[in-house]
Amino acid sequence: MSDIMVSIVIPMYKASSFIVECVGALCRQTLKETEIILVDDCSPDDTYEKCVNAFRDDNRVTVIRQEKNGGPGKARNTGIKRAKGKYIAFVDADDSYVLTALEEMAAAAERFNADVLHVSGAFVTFTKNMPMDLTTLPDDELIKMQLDREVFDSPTLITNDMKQRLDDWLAHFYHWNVWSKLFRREFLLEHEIFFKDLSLSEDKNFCLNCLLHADKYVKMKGFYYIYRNEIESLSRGKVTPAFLAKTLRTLFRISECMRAVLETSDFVADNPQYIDIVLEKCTSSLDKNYVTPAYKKLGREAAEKSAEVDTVFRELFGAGSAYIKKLFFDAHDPLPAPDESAGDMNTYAFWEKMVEKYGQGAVIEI
Amino acid sequence: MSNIKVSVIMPMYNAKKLVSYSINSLLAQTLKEIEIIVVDDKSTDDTYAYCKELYRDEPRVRIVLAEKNGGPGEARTLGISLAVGEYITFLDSDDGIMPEALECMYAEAKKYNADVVHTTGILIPVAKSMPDDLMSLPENRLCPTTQDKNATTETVVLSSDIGKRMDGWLMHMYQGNVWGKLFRREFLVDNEIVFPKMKMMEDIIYSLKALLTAKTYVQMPGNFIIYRITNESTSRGKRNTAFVAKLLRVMLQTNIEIPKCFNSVDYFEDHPEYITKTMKVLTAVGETMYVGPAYQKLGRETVEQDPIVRAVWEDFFGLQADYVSDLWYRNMDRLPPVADNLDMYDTYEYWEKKLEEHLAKESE
Repeated sequence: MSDIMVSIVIPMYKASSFIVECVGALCRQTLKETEIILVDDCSPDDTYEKCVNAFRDDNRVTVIRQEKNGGPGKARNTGIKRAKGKYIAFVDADDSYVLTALEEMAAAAERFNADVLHVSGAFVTFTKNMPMDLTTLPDDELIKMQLDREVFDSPTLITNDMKQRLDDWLAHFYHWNVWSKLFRREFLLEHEIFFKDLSLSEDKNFCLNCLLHADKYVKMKGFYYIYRNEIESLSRGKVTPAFLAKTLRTLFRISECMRAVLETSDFVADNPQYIDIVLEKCTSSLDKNYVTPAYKKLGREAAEKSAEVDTVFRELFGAGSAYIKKLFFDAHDPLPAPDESAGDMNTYAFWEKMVEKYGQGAVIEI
Repeated sequence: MSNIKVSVIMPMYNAKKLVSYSINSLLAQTLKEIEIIVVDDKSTDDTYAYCKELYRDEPRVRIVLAEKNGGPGEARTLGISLAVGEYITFLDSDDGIMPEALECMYAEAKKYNADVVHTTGILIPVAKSMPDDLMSLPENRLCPTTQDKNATTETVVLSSDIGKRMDGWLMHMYQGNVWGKLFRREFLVDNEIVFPKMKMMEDIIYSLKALLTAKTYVQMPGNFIIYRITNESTSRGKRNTAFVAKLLRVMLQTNIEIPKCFNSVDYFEDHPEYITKTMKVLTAVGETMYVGPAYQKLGRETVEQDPIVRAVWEDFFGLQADYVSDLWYRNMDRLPPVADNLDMYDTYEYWEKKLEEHLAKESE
């Protein structure tokens, strides 16, 4: 039996400029019984070579290269299969954990022998001088983000009543990120819980799968994960046809992927009305939050001309796709443009306003 | 080798009352080297036995029975497979055809060695009480109407430029009915021109495929087909969810058939924009003239909750049915109020006025 408590799985894509520092910070976690599995998603730059060279002599770090680019979900699946630890944690290549994070999270998980340990908060960076190593940021350059509606003072085993769980999930009691959680590896393997082939919402799908199958789902409050914010928005005004195509492909695959997860649940089998509710919620939220803003920013003309967008419709709707594409454009043209004043959560400016509103050091609910 | 110049294919369904007049108008053609293949599309009455008996001694008439009720397109396909004539044409079982029609059309076909001969107009019978035998009407009760926009007044061979033909089609210059046209049989077989399996619009797609494939496409002025109108506005009560479901299915099928139809024509590899343009024309017609008035009368909720309508969306889009149908409903909800004037062309009053205008012009 391996003595590794937590396997940290990190999908990487074009992460060459910061990945070594990121891994360095994770190696300084107070929990020492960890391994780090880096999965390069076929980056065209030297991400893979850099990691192989940097961690050649570090037996806690494993570097794997995907044969072809398949998105973070597939890369994480590779990581899950290679992991040896009792629990698995997922970290994005540019993010980090506070130094005591895994020790405290693992202790809570161990107390319950949890299938899933769910932490309800996370830090987001709030600085104009972004360091490579996020653990060096002082407290006033980190904001506490509350991700869930429901917070427990101490680690709490939540109900096994699936109706309650699903109703609460629909009411945003369970944030869908995969990085502020620990997953018991054997629990994932036993229920064959892996990431589905989606470019967006693959994390939501994965977490719902866990929620439907975990016997011991533990929620705790706290702020451990450090989410790297951009100083300036990179995405605004720079939507490409490829990005719209990606959001559309996800939109058209999300129902199938969510249904596949729901159909593994005995509770849902007895209460099939939840299928429509969940699918409609996932589809409309994707449409509203990703597809519509991307389409509005790109504009109809560019969308109409794009071969990538056309391919998405063609793949799904075959010969009749031109009509569906037209229906999509016609239905989205009258929608209002995305509200730029609401701000992009990935910007300093957004959080500056939030800090002004809630005060320095406050917990900000999102 | 057969000496049959034209094979006429006639699909029929519960057509006992009128079909003999239609067949008789063919037997009265001045062109004698014809065969008439009447395909009974599994009528629920005794139409088949009736015709079989009636034309027992008429060697030019052949009555066959379809294996299952598949709509006029499938019935015509069966008829074509049995035909031996040099050219193929079609006639509906409640219409009539002027005596010299096939002779005139065949003469033009031979003159130009045409793959397709296309006539520009039809005759509308104008009578307060519509007779069973349309041929019994005097000529001054037949209103000539040209269906093609900017119709030619002399016989022309269309340009072989497919782009030009498409531009004309998009401007409604070439009507899509299959009657009033001659198709060279070998041309149909060699180019695999077949009716798509649809209950409506199959003729438009068939004709379009011929327009895009024919080497020699001849358009000639002519009003030979007497097209029976119902003389009343009967369909208003039929603007129900079943009507919406039927039209919706046809529209969605059209969207699959049109690209197929274009795929086999090399020209469109470099001009894919025509697929979108064609779709726009056909869906605009479907949405505004047919579905629109019914949808607006019934309201979104009634249409959306109808199980037959839902079944259509699910047949076509499976798991995406809810999302795609929502897109469609959103667009239909934005359609400005449309007039329900489909039935206008079926009324005696409308054509009486048209006929008066026509006769006045003639006497000038």
